[in-house]
Amino acid sequence: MQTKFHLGRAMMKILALAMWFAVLAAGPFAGAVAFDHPGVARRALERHIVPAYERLNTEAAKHVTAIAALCQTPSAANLEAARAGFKSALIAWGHIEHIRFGPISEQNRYDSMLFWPDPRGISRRHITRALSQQDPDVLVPESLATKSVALQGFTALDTLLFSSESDALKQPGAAGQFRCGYARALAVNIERIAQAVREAWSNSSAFAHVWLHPGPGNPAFLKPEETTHALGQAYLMGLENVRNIRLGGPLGFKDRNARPLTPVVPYSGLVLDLAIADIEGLRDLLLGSGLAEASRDGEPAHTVMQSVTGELQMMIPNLRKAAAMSPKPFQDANARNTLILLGYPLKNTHDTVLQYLKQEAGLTMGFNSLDGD
Amino acid sequence: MAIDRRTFLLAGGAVLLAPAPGADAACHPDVFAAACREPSGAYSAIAYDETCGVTQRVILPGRGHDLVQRPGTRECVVFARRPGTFAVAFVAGGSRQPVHFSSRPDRHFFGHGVFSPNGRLLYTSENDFDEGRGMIGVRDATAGYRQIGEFPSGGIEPHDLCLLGDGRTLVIANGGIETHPASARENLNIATMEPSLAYVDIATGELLEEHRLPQSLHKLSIRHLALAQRDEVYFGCQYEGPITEHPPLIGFHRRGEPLHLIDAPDALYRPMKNYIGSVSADRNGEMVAATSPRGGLALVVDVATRRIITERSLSDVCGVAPRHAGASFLLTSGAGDVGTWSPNATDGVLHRENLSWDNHAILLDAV
Repeated sequence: MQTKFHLGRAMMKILALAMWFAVLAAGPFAGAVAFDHPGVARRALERHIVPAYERLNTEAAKHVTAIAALCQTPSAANLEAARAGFKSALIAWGHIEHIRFGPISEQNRYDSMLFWPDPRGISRRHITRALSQQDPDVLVPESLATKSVALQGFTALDTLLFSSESDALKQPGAAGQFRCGYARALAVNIERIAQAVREAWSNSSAFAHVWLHPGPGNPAFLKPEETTHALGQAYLMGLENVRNIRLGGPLGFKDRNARPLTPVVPYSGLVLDLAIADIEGLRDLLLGSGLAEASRDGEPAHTVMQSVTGELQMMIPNLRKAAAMSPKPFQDANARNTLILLGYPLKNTHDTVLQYLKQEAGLTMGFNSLDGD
Repeated sequence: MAIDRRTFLLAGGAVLLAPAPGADAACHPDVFAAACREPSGAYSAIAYDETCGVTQRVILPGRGHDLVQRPGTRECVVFARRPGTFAVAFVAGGSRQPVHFSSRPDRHFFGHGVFSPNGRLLYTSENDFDEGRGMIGVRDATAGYRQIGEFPSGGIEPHDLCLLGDGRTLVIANGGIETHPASARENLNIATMEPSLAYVDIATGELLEEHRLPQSLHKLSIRHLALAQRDEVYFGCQYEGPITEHPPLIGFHRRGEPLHLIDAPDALYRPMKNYIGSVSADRNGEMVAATSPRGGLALVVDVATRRIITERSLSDVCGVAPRHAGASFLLTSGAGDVGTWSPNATDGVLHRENLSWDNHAILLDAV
């Protein structure tokens, strides 16, 4: 019996080992409950995407009201209120600008919200011409919406509300009146875009339906994992954007003779506030969708993903520090070094999530399929 | 504090000619070349044999893209992926040190090139980024690839290019998407992009013909080309519009005619995710294969009927090259898989190499 018992234990060990290898060989979820792709999609919609667009819509509406008051009664105080409204709306946009698919990708809405980067200065030329020629089309939201995206959105508002010529908005006069009318039309169009996108994501018969019901007849998502893939891609591209373009562009990590980029919204100096909003939005995407929680029901929270959200959070004080060092952080040696050091956590939070999506969610974030080559 | 670009981007890579494990001229008549990423994260150009596997690797300074074989020789040139600035000429199966050359300071490569029929001149698709226009660089392969000229590509963002049978007419896929190295790979002009197919006389630089898609399809970027029989140009596209729209992604063109898109049931194009990464004609120019890494699919078109005749699934498939036998293709994937397709054959994955194949693969002509 004793011998038999020992043999039995040995056999059990071998069997257990064989089963373990079988689980490993079969892939990440063999023998386990499947990754909850539909749950991730629903949570991302309800906890992150819709609330963020609602906030954007709300802040954009407040901004319209503030600019309308400025146009009605030009004054330094009303200009400050309009500038504060701009900042709030811009920050709200930063929280959700990583979502580049769905309703925001229709009718050139994404570029109409924020036309940047613009290495050849197209926006500046268009806006200067519209102001100098007093183009009446830019005063009417409907006609403005049909014109070049370089004339629209936060980029144009930044020029109108914050450049040195914006002093004209403080007192009555023809120059200020035209400028304010253009700004009001811009703000109205931002609000309209925010509203249309919010409604499409909220309406169960619009894009929300497409998002929540992947399948063979779906126009965008054929399989449940494709919505997780879209979120993963939004996160990864969002981080790449912050690292390589928002910060890397003005820092001047240029190839050859390419000049450093002019920072986004340069007149308001809100580039780092927007970068903070971007990172907060990416953190909220992970938290809201539940990607930083349990990958499957009944399992403990995913510690690696929780460390990612922690690492994202830790970047924010350093961005604030760099912003406090200089109003022009890309030209200040200390601020530059502070920003450059963020390159490491920005890369780490990218690569860790990339691995997570492959190993835990079973996604192929392909070597070639993330490219536009 | 000395912090530089390299520290920030964690880029870089040594340049050396690696030994050729298993190199054996008698391995197999079909030898391919492709760029790849090694498990270490380094990038290289690979010579690959269906029987012997990887026979040569040339380490690159960054990520490569397409390659081209110099006619009459075993020399290959691999180009940097956009917005890279390097190119490396190496001899497949040879031990000569690679020749490195680069774009002008105010240009970068778009990842593709083609040789003149006599192998003397190399034409490369390049970006004049400060002017926002596409250029074709001209280099002398007999003089260390010294640049001797350039001419406009006839559009923005020239990507793939082919030389027609007359040896003089260059057909260029102007993708239409403006980018600038200061803003990495960000697309700058999606709202106004205008892709085109342009024909240019390489002797004079004259724009001979230029074709655009209807305005409703101005976001359908024409990017990759394959030359089928009788100089029929097949092109593969990427769509920059909403993901809920699915325009045709494959088209063809003959000089003097408008562009034709190949209609197919939505069920065929929709899984391609609005993205074709590579196009290749078979050895006889009778079939054309187009791959979608996003969809993990390859579609094969019969040139005679201009219809899609079959599809093949392979996760993250992108590289596609003809095999010496007609009506047959080699397929490579970002997961390292190498597969084949031919009619009436139950081809599967041949091998899985421990590397990530890049977007393109080419068949090397025997010399």
